[in-house]
Amino acid sequence: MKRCNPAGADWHYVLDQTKFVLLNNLLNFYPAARPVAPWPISRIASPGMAERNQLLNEALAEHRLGLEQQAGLLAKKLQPLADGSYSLTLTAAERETLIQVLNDLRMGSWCTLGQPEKLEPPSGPATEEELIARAIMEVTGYFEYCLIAADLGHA
Amino acid sequence: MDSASDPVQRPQPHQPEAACSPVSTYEVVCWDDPVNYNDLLTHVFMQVFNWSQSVAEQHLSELLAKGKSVLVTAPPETAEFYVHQLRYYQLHATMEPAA
Repeated sequence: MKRCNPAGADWHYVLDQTKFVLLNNLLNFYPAARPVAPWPISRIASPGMAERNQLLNEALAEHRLGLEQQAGLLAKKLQPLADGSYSLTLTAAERETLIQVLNDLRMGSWCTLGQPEKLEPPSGPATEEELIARAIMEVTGYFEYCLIAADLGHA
Repeated sequence: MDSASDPVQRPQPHQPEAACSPVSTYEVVCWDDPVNYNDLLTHVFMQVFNWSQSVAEQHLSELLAKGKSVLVTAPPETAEFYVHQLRYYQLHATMEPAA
């Protein structure tokens, strides 16, 4: 996936057939792998923090509902081109939404794997669920890189 | 999709504080974690705090060296707002009472 108009107002990307299938499936897969609030809002107990933690979880759940609706709309922005590739044109806000959707999937997959400290290949037999979670982490990481790294001058 | 809706909200200039909050200021802390890429962290810092890439990367360097970076110190409601914004991107952000 490559950005095609670095000087343009919108964010315009071109994807080949393989990247289209991957991104389209990720967007339609969302929110199958949901994070399970792995971290509390504070590491130090203080008055009112339980309520703030509950508010955080409620805000995240509500935000995720919004992302779920927008993920489907983002998938519809993948448009076929004459040469067999696909275009994706995003506003700045839509680009941020896509990054949030992708990282939500990535974090959810990490939770599925048991929140390992090191993301190493499995040393023993892995379940189908674990293999899928690892694949989602890799693919979402690829698209996050495409969306962000070039903008930071790292691509 | 409503392109006018901004997934990154900005805090209001004068957030009302909880009248009986015993802690006056909190540090918004971002912790190192094994999931989020460095470029993502830099990007999110720039988006949420409207920082330059240079400032964002300074905080990233501190986070990588020390395991955490204090991003801002703010009143409770503002700190909570920033934690929510960072969590929408799945960053490991917390609010801790300022020393």
